[in-house]
Amino acid sequence: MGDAGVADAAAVASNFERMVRIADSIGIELGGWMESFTEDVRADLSLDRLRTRPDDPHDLESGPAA
Amino acid sequence: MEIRYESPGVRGDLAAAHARYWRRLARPGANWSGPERVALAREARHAAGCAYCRRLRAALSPCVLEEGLHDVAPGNVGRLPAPAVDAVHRIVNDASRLTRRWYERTLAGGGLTDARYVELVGTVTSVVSIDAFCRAVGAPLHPLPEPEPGAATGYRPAAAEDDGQSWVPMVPFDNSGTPEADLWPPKRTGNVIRALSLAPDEVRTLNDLGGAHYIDHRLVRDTSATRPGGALTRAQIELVAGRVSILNDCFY
Repeated sequence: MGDAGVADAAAVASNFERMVRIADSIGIELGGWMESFTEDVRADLSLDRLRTRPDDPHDLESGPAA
Repeated sequence: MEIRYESPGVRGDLAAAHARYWRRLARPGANWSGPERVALAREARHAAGCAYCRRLRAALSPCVLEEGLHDVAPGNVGRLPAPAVDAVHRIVNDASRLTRRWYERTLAGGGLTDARYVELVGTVTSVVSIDAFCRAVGAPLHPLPEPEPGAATGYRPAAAEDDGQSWVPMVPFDNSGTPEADLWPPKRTGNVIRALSLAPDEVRTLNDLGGAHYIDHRLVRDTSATRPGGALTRAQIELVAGRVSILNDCFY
């Protein structure tokens, strides 16, 4: 990969240290386009288990979901 | 301030983007003064070593541990509202477990508005990102800039609205005809770009840094688009992006 590849990988990794925190701290929804575009891959990889929402059963502050 | 990287392989446009941000960090924003913005950056750096945050992270829920105080950065004691300090520490150390209830309680604690919170998020996450890059390439962290005098501008985009897509008001997808028309092509963006639009300069920073670190935000949906002159293929870029996101438990 070489020095440039490692440096570019560091750039991408550090970019997403930012993006994930923005998404989590602003509480954004996936939104229409992203919701439909990622439907298959979210199902295949069970990614929705990572969702943190007010009605999330793992959010102990809000209590178990009804 | 000039920023250079001695580490091999680092592109010059990354150093230039970091230098632009460091200059912006020192200036008054829309909701925080220059000294306050630099204090937020200092707190973000210091939060990584906070003993109370370590206890919160180890707790089954970050909400059940009420006693304790964050380890405030030297020089910051009394400079930032306590809810702002708490927000900085949690965004740095435990962002994936933030909830709307926590956000509402944080604003009710005083010293923060929705717009101040958004600018805080933009500032903290930019510093976290640039510092993470420095560590990854073995470069020393950049000294924080000397803050510039002047009050926050108080600018708030008139078009921002609560459309149920986030905890905070955002500029609508169709931003045409607004002062925020430069933030993204009308109707063509994702919520993660709109997220900071209550403080529009934070989106401009996001676009500037993202263009250097990752890919021009206007090209993200084009899966054939990559970085001209970059060393990674688009597939390699997305592999790194996805891996970092999953390690951070980010649903988005």
